[in-house]
Amino acid sequence: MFRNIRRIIQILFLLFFIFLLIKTVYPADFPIPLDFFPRYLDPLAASATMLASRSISMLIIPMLIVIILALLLGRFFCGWICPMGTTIDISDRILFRRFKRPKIKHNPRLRNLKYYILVAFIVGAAFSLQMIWFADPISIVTRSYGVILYPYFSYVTRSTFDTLYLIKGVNLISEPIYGVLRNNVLTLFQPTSRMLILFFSVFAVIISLSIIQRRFWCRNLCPLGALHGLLSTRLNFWRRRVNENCIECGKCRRECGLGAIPEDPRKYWPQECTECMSCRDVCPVNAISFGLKQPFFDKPKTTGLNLSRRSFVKSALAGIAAVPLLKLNYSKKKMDEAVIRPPGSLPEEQFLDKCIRCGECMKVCPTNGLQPAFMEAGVEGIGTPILVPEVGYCEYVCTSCTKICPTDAIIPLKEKEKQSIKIGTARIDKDRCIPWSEYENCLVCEEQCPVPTKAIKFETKDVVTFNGEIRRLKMPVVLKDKCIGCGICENKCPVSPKAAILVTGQIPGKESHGGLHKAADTSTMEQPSPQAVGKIKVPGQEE
Amino acid sequence: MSEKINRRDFIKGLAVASAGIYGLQSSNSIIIPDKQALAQVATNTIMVVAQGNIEKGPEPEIIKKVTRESVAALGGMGRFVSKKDTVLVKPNIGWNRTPEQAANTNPYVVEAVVEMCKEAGAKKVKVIDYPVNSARITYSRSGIKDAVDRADGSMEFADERKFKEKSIPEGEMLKSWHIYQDALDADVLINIPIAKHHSLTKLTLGTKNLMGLVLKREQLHTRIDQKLADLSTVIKPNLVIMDAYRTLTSHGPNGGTPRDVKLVGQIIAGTDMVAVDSYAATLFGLTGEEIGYIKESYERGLGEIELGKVATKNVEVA
Repeated sequence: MFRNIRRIIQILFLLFFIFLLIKTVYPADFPIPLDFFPRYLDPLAASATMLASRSISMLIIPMLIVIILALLLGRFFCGWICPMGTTIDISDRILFRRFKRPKIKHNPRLRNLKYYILVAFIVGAAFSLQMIWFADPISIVTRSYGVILYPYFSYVTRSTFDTLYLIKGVNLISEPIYGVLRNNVLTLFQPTSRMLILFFSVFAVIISLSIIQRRFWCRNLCPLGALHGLLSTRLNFWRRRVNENCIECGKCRRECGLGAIPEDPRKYWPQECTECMSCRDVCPVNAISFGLKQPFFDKPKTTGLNLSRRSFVKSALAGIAAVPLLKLNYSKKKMDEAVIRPPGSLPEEQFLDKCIRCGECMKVCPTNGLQPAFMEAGVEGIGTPILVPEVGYCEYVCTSCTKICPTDAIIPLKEKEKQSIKIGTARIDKDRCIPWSEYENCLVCEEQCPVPTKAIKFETKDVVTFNGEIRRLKMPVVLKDKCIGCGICENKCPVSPKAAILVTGQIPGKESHGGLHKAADTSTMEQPSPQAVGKIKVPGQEE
Repeated sequence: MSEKINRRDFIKGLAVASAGIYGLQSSNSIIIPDKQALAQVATNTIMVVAQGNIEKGPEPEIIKKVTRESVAALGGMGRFVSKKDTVLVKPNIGWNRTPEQAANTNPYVVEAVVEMCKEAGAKKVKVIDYPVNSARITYSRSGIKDAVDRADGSMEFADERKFKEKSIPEGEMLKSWHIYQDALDADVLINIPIAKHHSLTKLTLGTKNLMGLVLKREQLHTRIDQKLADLSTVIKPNLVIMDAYRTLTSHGPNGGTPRDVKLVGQIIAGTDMVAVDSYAATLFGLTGEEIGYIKESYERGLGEIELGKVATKNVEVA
């Protein structure tokens, strides 16, 4: 009975989590914080980002609340709330229900792995390398649902309804349903992610590990589970009790999804128990109950937590050793040109300290232009959001990504502030640009430029073509100081597959070639820019 | 407008209309869609310029009133829309700009048009654009989504499956292109562009608004004048209502500074898209001859460019 209540609550939390992700669309104004899970329920990400950035943020308050709850009530988060845990439970049930798992003798060394993982990541963060995104389940599950499963679901839905659309009669029923989905759940175009396979494989591995043991990930690897486990060994008012009716049938031990019950079923390891209540419900003699206990007088005989000092130090050292390995990067000095960060991003170093790759910004981006970096931002920057104008541009009036960053790696911006922040600079490739190389008018980039007085102007030139014909053409020119780097020009350029106008990054706080940090504020330039050759025609001043 | 046509008026009108058409024969190019042949009887006016009193407020009422008067003077919406018709309304909703920035058709113009279609008995009034910026953003920020909802029309996002490759028999540059099927299938197509600046073509007007009904618009920019004329041989709006209440005079087609916006206060309704475009050009101190695609369309016989030859009615809306 209690088990079913727990299952319902798990499902409700998962549905809430998915609902929030579906609502994570422009303009990202929703009464409930859309980044609720990574922002408020993830003490691991909060502590790692605060350690790495050596700053204390508002995240500390929800973090302390979660920690206090874990101290008092134990590792209930894993069993009742965690969307990753619920996902694993569901997939276990669907995929491996009939599966005969190998019989593994209970091995505390395997189980202790998660504590060492936790130590390595936290010590690494203290030494300025924040890699917690790699193992933090909340980060993994958020990006898996938002950036991987959502496009996947979208594709399947779309292709299904596209097929039904072709069948006369059926489409009369299917199209209205598709319309509702399209207006409320799907985006208007198929979203994609460059890291689909890479991100997906991490998710798939976590799911498939259950072949070995139920909830293998939660038992042995999850650092957030480890953190909750460590907290639940000391105080923990909420305890499992077994009364004298126990017949030692061992049913509870076999049922326990986390292997928290030792040979003697009267005992249990509180740091492993997620309080899922399954043991209570399967007990044939109703000997098991959960309830409040006076913690100081009724300590369990053994917690089973047996971390060796040696392994502890080893994992801490591993965390430290990884720092230079991932931080050293031959291309670092060029990096401010290589990637276009979302507007409102912190300066690169701090950005990397804080970004947990939850993918919220990529999910919310209305043009799908925010994509996970592969190696563009160095090894340390894998999976961080970069604008890829080839895929989508930064909407001039949109500030969605700045509103939903759970760790404030992207700080909230007002529309006006956002429009004045330069994230990159466009440069024209004259060898490929249509008027420059093909002697035909085009001017798509100028048309698209969202800067109110246009950061792309044009100069009118008389050009002699190869057959002696004189053509008067409008040649686009970029005013570097006014360009904000939104990338729409590159996105819409008709030259393909690589556009004839390319946007390079400008990491906030860094200046490139004397480019200005805040273009729109400092420049009132209406006149030709210094680098322009010839006469630029200003619209409104026709011949 | 609910003008009932009796036999006597019909014959009388027929005489007047044929005289009118005969008088305009020199251009021999006025587009009179079949549906209008009968309605032409009531009036031979093919273009109405309605001037609103821009001093007077509140603005929504003024704009709606001017729009209504312009269509009324043209013979009323009943001239174009019959009972049970499906109407497709194509405003310019291309940009993520607000109505004050004059980059999209004014929402109150759209509202009035949808209302009039509904009043004329249309079964369904679809409002659609395939915008440049993200559709969800442009639909809401332009105010048009709300306006259409108020008028009980149906605002639809363009469905990419409905862009079908159509051959353009009279096309010079384009032999075929992907065109929105619903626009071709609709009983009545109403084009409601906004008059504004555009660097490449000088002005964005009715003909250029058709670009929101086709795919791969970026590819149309080389030799744009010929390509736009090609498209308008296939996509033929039954009615054009030009929003020149606010015009964007520079930094178009999206603009963004209030400096570039000019309050003109006019709504131009007409059946000849070339004539309407040609008139709208004069609001910017240009003539139709100076705008490449208007000239091209005229030369192909798609409409009249010389305003002297267009039966125009001026309406002052107090």
